[in-house]
Amino acid sequence: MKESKYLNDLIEALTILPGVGKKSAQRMAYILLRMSKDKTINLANKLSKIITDVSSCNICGIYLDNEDAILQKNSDKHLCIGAGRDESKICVTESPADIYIIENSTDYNGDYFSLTGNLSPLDGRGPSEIGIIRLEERLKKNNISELILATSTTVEGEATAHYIQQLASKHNIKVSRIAFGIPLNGELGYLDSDTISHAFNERKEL
Amino acid sequence: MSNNLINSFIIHSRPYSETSMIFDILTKQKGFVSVLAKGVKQKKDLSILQPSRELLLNFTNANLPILTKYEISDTNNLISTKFMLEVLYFNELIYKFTPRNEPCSSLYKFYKSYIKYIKDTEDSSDIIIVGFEVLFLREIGYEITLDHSLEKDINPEKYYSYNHQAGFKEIENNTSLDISITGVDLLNLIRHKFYLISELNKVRRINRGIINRLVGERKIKSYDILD
Ligand SMILES: [Zn+2]
Repeated sequence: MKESKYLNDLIEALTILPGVGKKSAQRMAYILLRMSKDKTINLANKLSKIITDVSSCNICGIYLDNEDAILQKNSDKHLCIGAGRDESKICVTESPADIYIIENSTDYNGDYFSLTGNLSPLDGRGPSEIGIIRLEERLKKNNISELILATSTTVEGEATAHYIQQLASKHNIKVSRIAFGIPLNGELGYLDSDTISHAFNERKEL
Repeated sequence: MSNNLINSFIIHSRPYSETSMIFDILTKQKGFVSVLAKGVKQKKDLSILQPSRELLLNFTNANLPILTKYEISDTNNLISTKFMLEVLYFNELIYKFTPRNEPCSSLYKFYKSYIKYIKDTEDSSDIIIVGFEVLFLREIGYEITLDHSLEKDINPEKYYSYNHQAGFKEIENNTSLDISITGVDLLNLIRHKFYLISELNKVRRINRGIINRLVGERKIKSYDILD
C-alpha cells in the first residue's frame, strides 16, 4: 500500500513531544490533516515563532520575546520582576518553569536565576553548561545578601546546591536551601503549591 | 526469572521514553550492567532509585535486563550531602573504567565501603579524592608503581617525580618540571595513609595525569566541577 512520506515524517516528528508515542502521533497527524487549513497554518507559524522570536533573559534566564530580551540587555534594571522587589535576594532554580512555580506558590519577594539543568558530568553537564558562570558574574556585580537554592533533591540537584554554596562563600554571600522533606523525588514540578510554599518558608541556612 | 535480590548501586540513570529509565548499576554478583526500568517515572517510590545508595534489585536475564523489583538494602544508608560532588566524580570513574557484564565483587566491596566511609568521616575532600583514585585504580588493575626499587629504598629526604613508563623515580633536586613529591609523601601514598600526605594537591595532579591518560579522548567531565 502506498503511503505519504510527508505525513509519515510529521508523525515521526510529533513523537519528540513528551507522552506522545507512535499511536498518539498518528492520531494527531490525521486530526491536523482534517482540520481547516487556517488552524494548521496558525500552529505551524506559532511553532516557528518560538524559534525565531523567543530568547532568554540575560539576567534570570526566563524566556522572553526578542524585543523584551533586547530591552533587558540594554537596561541596568532587571525588567522581568516588578518594581519594589528585594533584588539582594536571588532564588536559584534548575529551569525557568520552576521560577513560575515558586512565584505562584509562595509570597517570595526577591529576584531569580534559572540554571539550565543540574550538574551531571556523565551527561556532559558541568558548571559552564548549566549557566553557573553566568550566576557567578551576577554574584560579582550586584550586592547580593542571600542566595536561596531551589535545585532538586536528587544527587545531582544536591551536588549543584553544594557547588553553588562553595561559590557563594567565596563572595561572602549567605546561602539557604529550601526545605524539602527527604527522601523525595525532588523536582518542583511534582509538588503541590502548599508543599512548595512550606519548603520555601522553612528554608535552612547552609 | 529468578527472585534473587541483587545488591546494587546505581551509578547513573538516564530517561528512556517518557515513562521509563535506564539505570547503569554496579552489582555484587553480575558486575556493571544496564537495566531498563519500565514505567518507573510514574512510581511514587522512584526517589529510592538514587545513585550511590545500596539497593536490592531484581531484574530479568536479557540483553537489556528489565528491572522487576527494587528496595532499599538498609534504610540508614543515605549518603551525606557534604561529598555529593566527589560522589559524582567517583561514579564517572566507575562508569568510564569498569568493564561491563564482568563479575567485579572486589570493586563492589570497595565502592560500598568507600561510600560508607565518606558518610561518617571528618576527612577533607582532598583526602577522600586521592584515596578513591588510588584504591579505584588498583581495583581496575592499575597500581601506582615504583621505579625498580622497593618501598624500603625510598628515602624520605629525597624528592620523587612520576613518569608514566617507570612510575615514581628519585630526582636529584626539586627543580624538575615534572610534579614531584617528597619521599615521606610517597611512602604515605604507597602505604595508603592518605591523611598523612602533606601535599595532596600534587598527588591529585599526578593521579589526574594517570587517569586522563587512561581514559583517552573520552575525558573526565568531573574535573570541570572539582577545579
Ligand atoms: Zn529576567
